Amino acid sequence: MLDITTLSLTIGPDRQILRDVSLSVAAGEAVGLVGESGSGKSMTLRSILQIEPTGSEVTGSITLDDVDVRALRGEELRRMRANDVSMIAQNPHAVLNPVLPVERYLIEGMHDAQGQPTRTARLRAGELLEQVGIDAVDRVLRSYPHQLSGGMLQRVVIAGAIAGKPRLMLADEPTTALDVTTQAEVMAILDECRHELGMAMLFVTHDLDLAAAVCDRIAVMKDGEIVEIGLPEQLRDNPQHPYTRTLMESRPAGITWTLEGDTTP
Amino acid sequence: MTTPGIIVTNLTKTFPTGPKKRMTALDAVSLTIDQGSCLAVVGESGSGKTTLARIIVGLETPDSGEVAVNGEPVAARANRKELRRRARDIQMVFQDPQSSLNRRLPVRVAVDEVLRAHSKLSGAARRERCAELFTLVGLETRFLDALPSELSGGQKQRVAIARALAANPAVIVLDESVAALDVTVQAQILELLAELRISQGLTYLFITHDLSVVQMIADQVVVMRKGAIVERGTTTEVLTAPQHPYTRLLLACAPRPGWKPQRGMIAKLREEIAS
Repeated sequence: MLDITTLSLTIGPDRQILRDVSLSVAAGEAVGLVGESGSGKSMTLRSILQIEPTGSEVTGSITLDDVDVRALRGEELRRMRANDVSMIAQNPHAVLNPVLPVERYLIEGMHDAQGQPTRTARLRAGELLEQVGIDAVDRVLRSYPHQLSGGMLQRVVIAGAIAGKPRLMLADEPTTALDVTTQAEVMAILDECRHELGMAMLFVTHDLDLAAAVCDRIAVMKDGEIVEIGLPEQLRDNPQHPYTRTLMESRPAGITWTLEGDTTP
Repeated sequence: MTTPGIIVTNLTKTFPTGPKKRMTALDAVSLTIDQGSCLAVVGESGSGKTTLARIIVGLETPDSGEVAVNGEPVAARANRKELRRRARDIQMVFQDPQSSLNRRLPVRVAVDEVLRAHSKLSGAARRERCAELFTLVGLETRFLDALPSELSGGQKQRVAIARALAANPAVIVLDESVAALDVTVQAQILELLAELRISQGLTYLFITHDLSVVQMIADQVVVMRKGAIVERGTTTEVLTAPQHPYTRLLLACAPRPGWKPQRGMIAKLREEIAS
């Protein structure tokens, strides 16, 4: 569905950020982009929505169901961002307007010709919140961003991101700013929503184990290049590239804890 | 072998949150760290772990309770001489190395300032000592006169460790000191810290939220939740046979090979904690 072919991105005369990145995501598939800071994983995501830094020189192609998304302009670009591809970033506070209740964020796109929220808008917003595992729907809808925890806010952002039933979700370190227990909850919710809607996902993270938990395939990036791509268990048991091995070895060797519910002992 | 390096007794600390309202950051926390060992304090945001660290190094004053280092109590309202001694004995390394470096001055200055405060070395001798400390933390001496912006995050954290070592401390409090680093760099810094602990005879208090980090560096662990210690034990005990449901929740949520996030189990453990 999504095909990235020999994508390169250069800023200024000599800062090459991406080098010949080629990657495809099938419909409904989740692919992890794992790498350390500066490896180019976020920039790959941003190139898809044409939100790379101004002054970037981009070559190569990105197609979504054979439509060249890099060539989209104006209304077509807006429609792609609204209907086909949505994005969740690390910091939900940067997404939500601090002076409006979260309800306004969720019903923003649901207006009738007179600019009034449609009658179903509020119902739909409630449904979306239920979908991301929020029980106190009415309270959350009335709350302002500062009244909610980071994990709750990130759920609201996910609710907004799935509102248009996109075919592709771009997730850029969506749980990095959260506590570990909240991270697990938010990842579980994101994973469930993705399966329910049959959404494909490109998931950027620095955490190989986290990517392995929710992705069908994982691409490892270093210095703007994809050095290895494979199934999570392939990368874990039989890494081919020396850098993948270094990444694996940077975590504790003997995993000593297993709890009921772990898929592999 | 088991001489106490740090003894913390009944520390309580509250912060005002509004008129006539206070929140309890620490609630009668007691712990002991053996000399030469590494104790990890694990918890999520709001658990009180950073407040504990800040009281131990003297950046906050507790409402009540005591801290003793190498058998000597550190008085709550210490005089200048005692404060100076505590500043020498207990050093701290923060999450963001930038916070202990001046971005306009060569990184050597951060180390030199500590030497100037705590030793009577001459300028030339201090310069030599700075070079020694850089070598000790695995930095080439050509970085002595570099500006912070010329160093990577890992290199800056090495400078911060050299700065802490300059005081010749008995204890180093590490507050999420590897949390902001990439995993490969994280592993290198943890290895350096493990070596230094042995070669310099240091005692560590390591504040972290990351159980993998605990597994790599700590001998003992305390788990904190809402200002209180809910579980303590050796690293192996706590990581393999957790007793408190909150510890089990933390373990259940930590990504590792073969792990899947499971809402059902999280909800079940949260209920157990609440009851």
